[in-house]
Amino acid sequence: MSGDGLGPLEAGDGTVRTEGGPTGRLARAQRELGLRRRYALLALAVAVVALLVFRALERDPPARAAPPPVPYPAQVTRLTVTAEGRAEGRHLLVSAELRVEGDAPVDLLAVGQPYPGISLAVRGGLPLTAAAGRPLLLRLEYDLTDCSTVPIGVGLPYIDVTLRNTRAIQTVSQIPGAVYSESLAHWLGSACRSSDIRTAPAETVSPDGGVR
Amino acid sequence: MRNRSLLVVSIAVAGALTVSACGSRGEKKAEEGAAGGSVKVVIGVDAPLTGKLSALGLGIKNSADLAVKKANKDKTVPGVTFELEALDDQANPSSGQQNATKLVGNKDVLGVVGPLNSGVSLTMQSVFNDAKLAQVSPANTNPQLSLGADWGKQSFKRMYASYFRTATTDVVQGKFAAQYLYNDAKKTKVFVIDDKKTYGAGLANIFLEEFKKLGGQVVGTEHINPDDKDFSAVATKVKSSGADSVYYGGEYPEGGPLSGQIKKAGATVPVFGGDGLYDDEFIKLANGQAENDLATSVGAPVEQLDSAKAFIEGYKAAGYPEPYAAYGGYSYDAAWSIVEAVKAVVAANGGKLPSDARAKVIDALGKVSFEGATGKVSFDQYGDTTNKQLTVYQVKDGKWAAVKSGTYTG
Repeated sequence: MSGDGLGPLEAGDGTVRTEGGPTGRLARAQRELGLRRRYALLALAVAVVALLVFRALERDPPARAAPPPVPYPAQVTRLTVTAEGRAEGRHLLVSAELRVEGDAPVDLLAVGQPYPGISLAVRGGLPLTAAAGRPLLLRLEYDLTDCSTVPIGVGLPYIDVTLRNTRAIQTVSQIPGAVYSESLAHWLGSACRSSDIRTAPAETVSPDGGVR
Repeated sequence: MRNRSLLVVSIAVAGALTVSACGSRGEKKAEEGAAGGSVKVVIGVDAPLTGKLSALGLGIKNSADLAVKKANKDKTVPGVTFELEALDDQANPSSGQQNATKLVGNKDVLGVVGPLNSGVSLTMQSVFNDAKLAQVSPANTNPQLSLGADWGKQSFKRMYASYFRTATTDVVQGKFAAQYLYNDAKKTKVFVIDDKKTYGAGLANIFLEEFKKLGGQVVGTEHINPDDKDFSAVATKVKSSGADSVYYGGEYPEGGPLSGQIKKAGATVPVFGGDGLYDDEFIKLANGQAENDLATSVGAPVEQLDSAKAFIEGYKAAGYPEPYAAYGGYSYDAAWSIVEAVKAVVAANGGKLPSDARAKVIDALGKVSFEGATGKVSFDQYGDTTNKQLTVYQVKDGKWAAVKSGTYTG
């Protein structure tokens, strides 16, 4: 019984006297125990949440996957000849475009063609950069040095291009088709027939035009 | 405070369970997607599933099957379940024609993938065309099939509106091979051999004409019989001709032994051929003599195609016992082009298949455009693929290795 009220209250917030005596120490110990329990529960909760969120993310790799690499330059770059070449004696000028699909730009590092009696260069020099979605206009300049080493009228002459983007450097053949093969054939036929650029070919063979 | 602690834990656990449950729902959704739709559409396959060329034919069948499974799993065409019906032509033209008739007779067939051989296709085209049934070959390369018999005279005529192909033609393949052999490999004297078949003879002739125009010398020509095994007489002629290279128009069952016997006769020169040689079986059949031999094949090397990697992973995951081989990616794309065409036809008809679905699928095929396993897939006005890439491969250390790729951009 207590002379000042309805009897003792159970120990709890604000019900325990803290000054002196064994009763105060017990109350302090109980309060410290309560705090430790709360901290432990909070720590456990945080750990559970972290673990489950981590596992959920583990099960969803696309959400964490790095963006895919840009495609190989050879897969997204096309060189096309846009008009018949303009021939003048031993020189030929061919207009071409380099187009890039996708988002990443591609550098054009070098061009080449296989016949030893012809040299090829890009007007203005290389390297050049083709931006995605915007064609890079090229002026291909050919010089004839030796008629005896050039074929006239082949069906599918190619241009080798060396390309670079953030994925790779590649050299691949671009086969521009009929307009290109006919331009070469007319130029070489005319230049080698009427000039003294070493040995003239014995016979001119007509090109076989478009390819399907 | 105790109640608040419990509340924190409860929220945490509930939240975690919610996150976990989201994952479960995603997995369940994928499982439900495998159930498919209610209307059956059959995609036929015709290829050599048995016999000497079955390594290529089974790769075609499996790859088309993979496309069908993916279409059903993803419910690519709502309300439609695709099925595959694969028939064996044994690389035989008459068997191919019988198979075409059988596929035409199945009203559920709305498109056919195949065949492998150009010569087989010649017997099937009119059967499919008469029935307005679409055919998409992943492997035919003879130009005549799409451009008509006078293609060599620059007179192009599409004879069969139902015919499409995802492989590029021998016009590009044969000429690019000649350019590579003369310009890059620096070979000037070639001996040309073919197997007298539509594919082999046609390819060899295209190669030969371009090689001569380049200034190369054709030091001999020969034909072999596809059923022969002894090529020693031809091998002796190659040796005595002084050729620095051999071009063979044909397929690996004969090409492999031919290469081995040419080397055995003392002519240590590379044998070059088309996509019909590009298979590991060629190397095995050459009896250890295939080193430095060459072959062109359609498309770019698969390791350069990110889209092909997804196909390859899917193929492996599906557990097919046979490799996808040379035409796997093109077969997958051929089957998927039919799926895309069916999808377009259904969408244009209020979500249902129309009664004249076959004819409409042919029209829709001419308009498909999608990113496939081999890159962008679409067809030109002749039914030919617009993706005209090819690659020269060489046997190095007993394996095919890519040495040069080209793209026709005309």
